[in-house]
Amino acid sequence: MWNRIRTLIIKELRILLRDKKTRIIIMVPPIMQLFLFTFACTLEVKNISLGILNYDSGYESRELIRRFEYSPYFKKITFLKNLEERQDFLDSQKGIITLTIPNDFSRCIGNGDQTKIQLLTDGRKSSSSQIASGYASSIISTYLQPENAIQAEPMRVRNWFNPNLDYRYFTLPSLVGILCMIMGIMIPALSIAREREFNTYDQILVSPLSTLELLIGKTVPSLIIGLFQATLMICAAVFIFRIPFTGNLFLFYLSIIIFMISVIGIGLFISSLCRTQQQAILGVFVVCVPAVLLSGYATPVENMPQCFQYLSTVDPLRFFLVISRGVFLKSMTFSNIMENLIPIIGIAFFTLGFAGWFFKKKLD
Amino acid sequence: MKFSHIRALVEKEFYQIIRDPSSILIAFVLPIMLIILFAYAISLDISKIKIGLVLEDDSNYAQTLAGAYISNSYFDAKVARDRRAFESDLVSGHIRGIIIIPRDFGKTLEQDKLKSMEVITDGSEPNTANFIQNYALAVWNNWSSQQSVLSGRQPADNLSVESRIWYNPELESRHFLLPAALALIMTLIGSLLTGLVVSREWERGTMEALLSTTITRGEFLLGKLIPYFFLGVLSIILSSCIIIWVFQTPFRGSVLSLMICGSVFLFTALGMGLLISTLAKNQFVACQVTFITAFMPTLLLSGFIFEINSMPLVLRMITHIIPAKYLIACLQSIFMVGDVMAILIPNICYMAIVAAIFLTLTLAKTRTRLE
Repeated sequence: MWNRIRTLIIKELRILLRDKKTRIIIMVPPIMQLFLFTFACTLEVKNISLGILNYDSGYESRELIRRFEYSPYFKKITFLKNLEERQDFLDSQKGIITLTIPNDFSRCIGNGDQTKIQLLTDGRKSSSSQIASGYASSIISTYLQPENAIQAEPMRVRNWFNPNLDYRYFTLPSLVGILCMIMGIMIPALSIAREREFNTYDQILVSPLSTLELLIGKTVPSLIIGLFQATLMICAAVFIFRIPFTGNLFLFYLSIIIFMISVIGIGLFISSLCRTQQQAILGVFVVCVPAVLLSGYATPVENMPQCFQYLSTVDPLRFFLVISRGVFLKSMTFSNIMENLIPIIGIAFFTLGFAGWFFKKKLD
Repeated sequence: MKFSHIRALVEKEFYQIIRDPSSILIAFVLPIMLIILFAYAISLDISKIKIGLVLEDDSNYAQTLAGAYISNSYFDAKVARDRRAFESDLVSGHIRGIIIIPRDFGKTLEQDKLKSMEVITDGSEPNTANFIQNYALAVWNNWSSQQSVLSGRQPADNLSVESRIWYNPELESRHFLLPAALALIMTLIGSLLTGLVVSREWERGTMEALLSTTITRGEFLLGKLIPYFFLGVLSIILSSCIIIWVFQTPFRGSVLSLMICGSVFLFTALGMGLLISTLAKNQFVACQVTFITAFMPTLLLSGFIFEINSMPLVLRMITHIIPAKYLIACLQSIFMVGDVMAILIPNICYMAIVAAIFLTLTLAKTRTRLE
């Protein structure tokens, strides 16, 4: 039996690694995506370009504008002449925020009268413009305060596990899960679809392989490649991006293996329904995109509508992301890991069981 | 170039599309799925965050402040007397933050002083941590102005800010996510479907059959472009209708400009797909390359979720060659503002240039010989 499994594994690995293009495509993308995601995914807003429509010619408005010029967030300031220019500035996205200073601004500040500054922001980019608007408001509201005024802070904030709220601390551990999942689903899904497209599946059916042997032989190669990639990404995260790794490495690898088995099960399950590689790719897509979106990576699970929350309980990635972030940042304990690992084990049993049932059915 | 050749090829491709249900699924069912996911599962507006509220103080002030945290819609708070009760919940991820009203909070307030509250957040999710900070402060500000505590200590303020948001005053994230999702859908249909077509011919060996006929490279490419272009246009129409009528996204531009933008972009996406497919000759490789060069950049580098201006310089340079960036700028304007020519014309030109480059490259790389 072991001999047969070994032969099948070697055959699968050879098919995958024989072609130079395929070899590159398995090794390079995870690393590329790691860099891309890590540098691109920042919700910080910097280098904001600002438009100022200043009707006031006095000292106070010049002083206020100077504060904006010195702010690290606002980089390019455009002076607008009239309302039409302001409209055009926002419409054609030359900037996402404009400041309008009324003509009696300096006089009102001098006399201590009420005055109002108008901030207009571009709702097409609502999250960045809200942040920009926050920066602008805080510059304006501190403008009148004497510089030595000491205000009691109403609250002291501490961010555990990630004191500076560095976005990479969140992205990299999550990516380990996301990229492993995509590979773990794609490789087995395409491998069987390919056999069927080339009609080599029949040859496997007439070989002496049993259902279990076939299942193991199709699972192990993907697992080996997935583990290799995971190791690569963990090393990059720890040594290149300096993400702290506080948890237990052994437990983490155990979780990765179980997680990989569950997603490989999904891949085999997809391939059992497909006749061509195009169908398999579609299947991979239909599973992967919702799995990533519902995993809590983009939006916390508890913020989704109820039906999506139920749906996310069959998403192994949802549980794995908790483990991954927990092991990297929170030195998560065994019991907390198990709490998230048990649903993954359940999913693995179900998907592998179904794939096995399918193979058996075909073999009979 | 003979019209009859192209027609025959288009016909063949057309039958291939309708006979493999997965093409129809990619063109019509996948878009619907993506739209629903983007409409419901992604929300940049967070509410009902689970937090732990620790009351170390029993005074009246502390009680009403705790009431303010419990009763608002931002937080879903559990209350305890001791912060240790929540620390392990924060590690396991059952709550996202802890707000602590400290001992002697009320007593110090009565003396017109302030004892800071403590807020502990789960930094492993920076977005949520930021929301907790901001909303915790907002609730406090609201409460303190109602209670008029410390009122004598606030600096006299005669300068106020009036903030308004144009185009999307209710800040509905759906309104800008769905037009962007349309761009993602077009990238997928354009590049994923065509990414597979030429490589499939090579992989199955049917390319050899085609090569033995008299068709030219140009005819071959047109035969691939035309059917998928129509499939793409149909899918744009379907998706736009869903976005506008089912999800009630405003549509302030004209249908004509939407169709022009969409068609020009489809050519860039189809061109990219055909180029990948021509170079890859293997469906697995083609699919992976499409994912990496089309889908991921559209999601990450097009300015749709992440602000381009905040990226490092190298990435900002890369975003210029991503056609979806130009499409998203167009679509968001067409849906939310109207036909802003200052945005539409340059962006459409860029897309047309990218399309021309891809198609020329594909033509150059299409080989009419077996190696």
